Amino acid sequence: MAAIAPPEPTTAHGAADGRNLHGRMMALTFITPISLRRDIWLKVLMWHARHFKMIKKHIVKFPFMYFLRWAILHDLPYNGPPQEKERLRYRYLFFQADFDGPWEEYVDAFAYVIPMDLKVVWGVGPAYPAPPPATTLRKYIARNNFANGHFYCGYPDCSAGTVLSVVDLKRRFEPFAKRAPSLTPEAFQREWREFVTAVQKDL
Amino acid sequence: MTRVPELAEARRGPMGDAPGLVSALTVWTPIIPGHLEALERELDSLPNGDGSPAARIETTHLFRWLLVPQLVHQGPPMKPDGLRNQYLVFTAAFDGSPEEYVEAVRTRLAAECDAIWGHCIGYPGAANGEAFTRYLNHNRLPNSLFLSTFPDASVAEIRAGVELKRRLVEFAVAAQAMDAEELQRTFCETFA
Repeated sequence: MAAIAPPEPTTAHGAADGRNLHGRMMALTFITPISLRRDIWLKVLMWHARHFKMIKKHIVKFPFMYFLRWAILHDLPYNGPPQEKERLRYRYLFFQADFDGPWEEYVDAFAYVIPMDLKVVWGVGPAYPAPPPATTLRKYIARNNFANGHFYCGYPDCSAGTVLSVVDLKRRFEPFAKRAPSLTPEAFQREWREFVTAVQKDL
Repeated sequence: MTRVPELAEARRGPMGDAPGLVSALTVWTPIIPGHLEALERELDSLPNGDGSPAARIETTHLFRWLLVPQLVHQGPPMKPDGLRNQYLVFTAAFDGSPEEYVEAVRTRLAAECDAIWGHCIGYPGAANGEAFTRYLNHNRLPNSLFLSTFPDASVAEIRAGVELKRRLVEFAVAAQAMDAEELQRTFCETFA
């Protein structure tokens, strides 16, 4: 059976539809070609990222990020006919990121703060704009971002910063609340004031 | 007739799918030729927000279905390349193990699974638990790296934190006029 997919589009499916937002959370999905050499490099890099906390922390350093995922696509599972076995010339990097609000707001941060990080992962693959400047990266993302058919987030009204903040608040509150009944009123009042001062940034 | 090879183990890499409490799934399933538009209509018809079927699984951080009819050609010097099939991609981030989550998807989203994955080659239906799990595992793409800014926070903890913040702000405002005894008593009554 002949291939059914349309040949070589230059824009990702639904890229202009804007269906990637639920509440505050914005999704980004990229599938971009990489060379065999970069595939090996990425496997080494990601192994280190999985095993070393310092690298993980470096990657998720922006407070507007929720989740990041990378997968390398070089073949796809075969389920029998009418599926055709894939024969891809390139390997592809599948990348998904979830941000707090529209990605357009963060392009400058990516282009000017972490251009080397981007280069380490995406290298100088075909048509990769290698920022700065941010303008070319903005166009590249807009063109390569696949739209979601359906998108759901379990806490749509929380920014990534809010998530960190409320979790921290809850973890500080629980031991204090547990101790509260056993304190004298004066000691409780003193500890309450200390607690409120300590968590003020989270309230 | 379509078939799914018998694979006991998921195609996954070590650790890449689970950075902490939160795990991740990425599944690529081939769309039956000619079904892309019908599938797109089906996805469009799903309610969004709190009405989303994914909201029925309380451990869901993120849930998405997206369509990849073809890869994007990046222009020269990229040589011509492309997929021979169109794909439905399912990705999710959730608390707990992938096995538990797949079972939750199968049982709590059975109608939606059949309506959506029913357009995919080899889909066995949600009624057959073993075949459903085997199908998703077989078509699973291992994540090379999955990271979260808050890898040890569950959905329940995040939601409880939001509610606690609201109650604490209310209490802190009311507590300003209380003496020590009333403060402690009201606190214990409010947060017992």
